[in-house]
Amino acid sequence: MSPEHFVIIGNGAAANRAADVLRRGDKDARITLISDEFFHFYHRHRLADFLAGAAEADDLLVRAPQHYQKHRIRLRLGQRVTRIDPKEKVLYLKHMEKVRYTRLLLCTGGKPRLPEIHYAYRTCFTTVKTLADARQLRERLDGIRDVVVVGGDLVSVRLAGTLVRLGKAVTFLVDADAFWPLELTPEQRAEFAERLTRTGIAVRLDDALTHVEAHPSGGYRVTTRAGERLRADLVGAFFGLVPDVDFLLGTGLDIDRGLLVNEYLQTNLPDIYAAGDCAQVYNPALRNYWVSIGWPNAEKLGEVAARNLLGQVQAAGQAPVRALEFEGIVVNTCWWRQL
Amino acid sequence: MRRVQKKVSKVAGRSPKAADSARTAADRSLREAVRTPKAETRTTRAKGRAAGSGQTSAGARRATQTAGRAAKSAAKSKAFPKPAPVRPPAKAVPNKQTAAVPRKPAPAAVPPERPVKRARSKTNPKSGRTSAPRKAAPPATAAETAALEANVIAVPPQASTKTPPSGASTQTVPPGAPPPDAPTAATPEAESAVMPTAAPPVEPSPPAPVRARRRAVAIEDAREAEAMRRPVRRRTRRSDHPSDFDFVRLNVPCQWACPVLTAVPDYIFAIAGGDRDKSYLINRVTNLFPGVLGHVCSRPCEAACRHGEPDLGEPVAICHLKRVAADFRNRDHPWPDRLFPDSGCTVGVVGGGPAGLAAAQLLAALGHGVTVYEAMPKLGGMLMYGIPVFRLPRELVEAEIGRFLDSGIAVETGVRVGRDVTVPELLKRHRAVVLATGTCLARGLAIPGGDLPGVYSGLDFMMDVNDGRPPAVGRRVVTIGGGFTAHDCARSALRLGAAESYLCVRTTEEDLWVTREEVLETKREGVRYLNLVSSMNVVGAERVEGVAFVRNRLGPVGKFGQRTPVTIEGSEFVFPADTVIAATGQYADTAVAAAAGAAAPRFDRRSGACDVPGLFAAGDFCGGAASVIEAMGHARRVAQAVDEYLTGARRLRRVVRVRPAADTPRPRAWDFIPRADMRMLPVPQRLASFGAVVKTGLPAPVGERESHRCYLCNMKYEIRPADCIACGLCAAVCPRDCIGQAAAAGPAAATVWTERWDEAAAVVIDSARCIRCGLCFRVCPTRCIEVEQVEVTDVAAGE
Repeated sequence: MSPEHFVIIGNGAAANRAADVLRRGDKDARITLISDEFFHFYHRHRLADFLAGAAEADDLLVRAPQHYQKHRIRLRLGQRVTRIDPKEKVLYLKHMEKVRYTRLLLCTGGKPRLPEIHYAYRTCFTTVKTLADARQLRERLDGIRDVVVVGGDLVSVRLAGTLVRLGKAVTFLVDADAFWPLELTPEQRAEFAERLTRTGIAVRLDDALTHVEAHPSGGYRVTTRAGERLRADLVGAFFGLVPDVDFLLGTGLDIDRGLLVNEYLQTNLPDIYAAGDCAQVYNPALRNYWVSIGWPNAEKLGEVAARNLLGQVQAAGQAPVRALEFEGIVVNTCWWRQL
Repeated sequence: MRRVQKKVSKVAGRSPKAADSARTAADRSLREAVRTPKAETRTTRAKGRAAGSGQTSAGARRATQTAGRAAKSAAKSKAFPKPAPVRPPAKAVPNKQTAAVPRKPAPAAVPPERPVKRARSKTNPKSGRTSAPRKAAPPATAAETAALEANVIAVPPQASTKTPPSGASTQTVPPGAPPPDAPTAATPEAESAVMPTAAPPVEPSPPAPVRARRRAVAIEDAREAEAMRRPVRRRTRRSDHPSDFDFVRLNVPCQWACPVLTAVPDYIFAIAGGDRDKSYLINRVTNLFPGVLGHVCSRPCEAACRHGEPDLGEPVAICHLKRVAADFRNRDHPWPDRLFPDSGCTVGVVGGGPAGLAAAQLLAALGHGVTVYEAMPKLGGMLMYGIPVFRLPRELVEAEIGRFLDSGIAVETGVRVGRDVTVPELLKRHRAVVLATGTCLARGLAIPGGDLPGVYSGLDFMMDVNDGRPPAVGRRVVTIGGGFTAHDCARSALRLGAAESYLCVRTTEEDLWVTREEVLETKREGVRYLNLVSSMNVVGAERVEGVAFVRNRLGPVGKFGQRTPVTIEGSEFVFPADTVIAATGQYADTAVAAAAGAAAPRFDRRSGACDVPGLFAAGDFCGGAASVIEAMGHARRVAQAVDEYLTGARRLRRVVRVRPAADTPRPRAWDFIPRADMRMLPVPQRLASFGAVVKTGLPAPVGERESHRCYLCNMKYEIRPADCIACGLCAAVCPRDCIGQAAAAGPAAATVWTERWDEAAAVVIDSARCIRCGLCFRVCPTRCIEVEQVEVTDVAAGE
C-alpha cells in the first residue's frame, strides 16, 4: 500500500503544527506544504520590527529551514493553488502543475479585512499582512512623512509605534467600531487613546475616515467625520483578518465567511479538512459557527485537524472562553488581549 | 517548421534559406507598420519608402496603397485620433541598382484609362490593413493622388506615364534621372523623406536589408496574386445556421446571457465612440427601458463577461454603461417605425408592468392594436410600486414610459381585471389577451406567530412605503429572505428609523439572487447578514419579541443551481426583534385566469399559451418572480407567440448577422484599465432622506473610459486554413494562449486540440478564450485571418 500523501495548503501556525503532528503520527507519509509566499514560516507579529530595521527577514523565522529537510516535509514556496478537484484528489497550481493528494488540509489563513463602508477607497489603503507587504512598505519609507492609520488591531498599534520612532507624523483615528472584532466601551477607548498619545501618536478620538482620495501631486487627502482634512503619504487600514477562501469558491466546498467545517474540522468533501483562521467551525455547545483568529488558536486547530487526518477522532474543543459575537458569527480571538 | 519553410520557399521562389530570411524581413516590415502608433506616421513612412527607395513597381504600389489606405481609414475612424492631413510625397532619385537589375519586367507604361489604384472596402484604422476583397476604384483623396505620383516615379527603367484620374497632371520621367521638380537627396527635404536603407548602394551587391525587402516584396506579390484568385466572401450575411448561433452562445457571452439579447458589445462600442444616442437606441431595440435597467438590472451579462474570467480582471460595468447612455442621451429620440402594417387585430394586455409593456411594445410593432389595462393609477407595476425610490427614481420611470405612450398604444389605468372587467369580457373585446399582472400576492410567513402585530409581508411593506404610507418599524428589524425585495425592505427599515437591521438568509451570500454590488451596498448602509438560519416561529405574546431560528448547514445543490439548507438538530436559538418583515416570496393571482373558463389554466412556460384559445400569460405571472429583464425577455417571446396565433405565421425570424469588419480598434493597453466603480451617495446622506438616490451615476468621461474595457467579443477572428502557412507567429504573440492546432476542424465546441504537428489539420483560434486583442491578425504574414462581427437579432421573416 502506497503511503499517504498529506498536502497542506498554507505555511502558517496551523499548517506547521499540523505538519509536525502528522510526521510524529505517520513516519512514512509524504507531507507537502504549499504556500504562495516566497519566504519560510515567520513571526507575523514581528513585522513591525522588520519595518523599523530592528530585525531582518531571517530574524523573523520561527524555525530553521533545515527543520523541513530533517522531518522530510516538502516545502513548495511561492506556488499558488488555483483549483481543487476533489473527485480526482488533485490540486492545480498556478504554473499548471498538478499535485495529487490522499488527504488535504486547508490552512489558508486570513486576509486583511476591509469594511464595506471603506470598499470604495480600497486602492488608497495600505495593509501589512505578509512579509512581502512589509518589504514594499520598507522600501517606500523614505518618501513617507505623514501617516494616517484607521482601524485598530494589534498590527496597527505596533506599526504606528514603529513609524513614530522612525520620525513619521502618525495620526490614529480611533472609532467605536474600528477595533474588530471588539467594540470597546468609551472608557476603554479613552484609555487606549491616552496610551497611544504617550507614544507620540496624534490620536483623533471618536473620529473616523469618511473619504480618501489620491492627490494628483502625490499622497492622499483624508477627510474625517469631524470634517478635518488630513494630508497623508500613507493610509494604513487595519481592520483585522477574514478567512482567505475566495479561490476555493466553485470547488464544491461549503463556504460562508470561512470554510464550513464540523467540530472535527472536516469539510463537506471527503478527506479535506480545514484549520486555522480560514475555518468556520460549528460548535454544538454554542449552537453556532465560530471563527478563530490568532496564533495559539491556529496551532490548536492545526493539531486537532492533524489528529483527525491520522484517523483519530478529536473535536475542536468546547466553547471558547473569550468568544465574541460579531455580525452573527462568534469570533474566538486572542490577539486583542495583548493590546 | 520544415513545412513552413517549404511553403515560404515555394511562395518566394527561392531557396529555403533565402525564403526564411525573406519571411523574417517581411514579418519585420509588417510588424513595423503595425507598431506605428498613428496612421500619420505610417503614411509618411510608406510614402517615403515608395518615393525614396526607387523600388520596383510592386513594392512602390504596395507602399502607395498602404499610404492611401492609412489616410482613408483614418478619415473613416471617428472614435479614435484622426491623423494629420497627408503631405504630398517627396520624390527622390531612383535606385540605380534596382533600375539596372529589375526583379521582373516592369510595365513600360500604364494606359491612361486603366485604373491604377485599387482600394479596399474596409481598412483597419490602426494598421491600415484589411483582408477585404479589392475593388477597382479611382483614388479620390489628396493622399492617394500624391501616393500615385510616387508610384509613377518609382517605375524604372523605361519612361512611364500614368494619368491620375483626379486631375493630377501626367508626368514623364526619363530613366535614371530625377524629375526636374523632385528634391535631390542633398536637400534637407529629400533627406527627411528618403528612408535610410534606401540610399543607392555603392557595392555591386545590395545590402542585406534591401535584399530582404525585395524578397518581402516577392512574397507580397504572391499574396496579391492569391488574393485576386480568391472568391469574394466578405459581405454581410444573415445566418440561421446552428453553428452560428453556437458561436454567439459560446463567444459573445454577454449578449447570450441577456434575456432580451441586447447587443451589448455594439452599444458599448457606440459609447466608446462618444455616440451615446446611438448606444441608447441600440439598447432600445429589444429593451424598452434602458435607463430604468441601468439602475436596477440584475446583470446576467456581467456575470458572463469574459473580462471577469480568472486573470483577466473584473467584468465590464455593462449596467453602468447602459445608464451612461441613458443619462447623457438626447431626450427626443424617434420611436421606431412599425415592422408590419396594421393587422386589424387588437390585443388586450393586462398589467402595465415591465412584462406587460414589453409585450405591448412588440405587439404594436408587429402591427396589432394594443390596449393596456392597469389596476393602479400609474403604469410601471413593480418599477413604480415595488422598487424603492432610492434605487430607482420615479421621474426616470415616468419619462421612459411616457415615451412609450407616445407611440399610440391605448392605456386604461385604474381598471382591475377581475373586479372592473373579467377576462372573458376582454377575450370578447380582443382577439387575444396577455395576462402580465406579475406576482402581486405575498407568500407571507407560514410559521406560528406569523400573524402577530409587528410582522409584515415584504411586498406589502414595500408597496406601502412606495405609496407614501410607510409602516412603523421598531428599533431592531429582522427581515427574513434573501431576494431583491428582502434587501429593499432591510434597507428601507434603516431609512425609516430602525437602529439595527438584520437580513436572515437560509444559506449563504454566495447563493443570493441579488448582485454582489447590491449586497455590498446593503452592508455598507449597516444591514447585517445572519447566514445559515431558518425561521421556525415568531416569538411574542401580544406583539413581536423575537424570531426562533435553527442553524443550517449547506445541503445538496437544488434545481436552480443553489445549495439547499439542511437544519442542524439541536441548534435552535431565539433572536430578539421588534419588527419582522417576511420577504419569502410572491406568487401570481391566477384567479383572474380561472374565470376565463378553465378551472385551473395551465400556461406553457415558453410560449405563454394556455388551453383557453387567445389567452396568454407573460412575465412573472407565468413563470414566478424573477428580475425585470427576465420578465421583459419572456414577454417578448410571448408577444411573438401571440402574433403567430393571430396571423398564423412566425413573422419574426431570429438570425445571426455576420458583417465583415476591420481589425479591433482597441490598443492592448485598454485591457488593463481597472473597472470603474459606480459613484455612490455617502451613507449618512442616504439614510437622512428616503428619496435620495444611492447610485449617482458615472460621469460621461468615466463611462467612455469604462467602455474601452470591453473586449468586443462580437468580433470573430478566424483563420482561413487554405491560406495559413502554419508559421506560428500568431500563436507566439497571442497573450492568452488561445491559438492552437486542431486535429479535426469542426464546430467551435467540438474542436479537437493536438500538440503534434503530424496530427494537426489546421491552426485554430479558440474564440471562447480569445480576448480579441488583434495581435494575431496584425502579425499574420499571409493575412489569412478574417475578422467578422456577429450579432443575434430578430428580423422580419420576409427580409
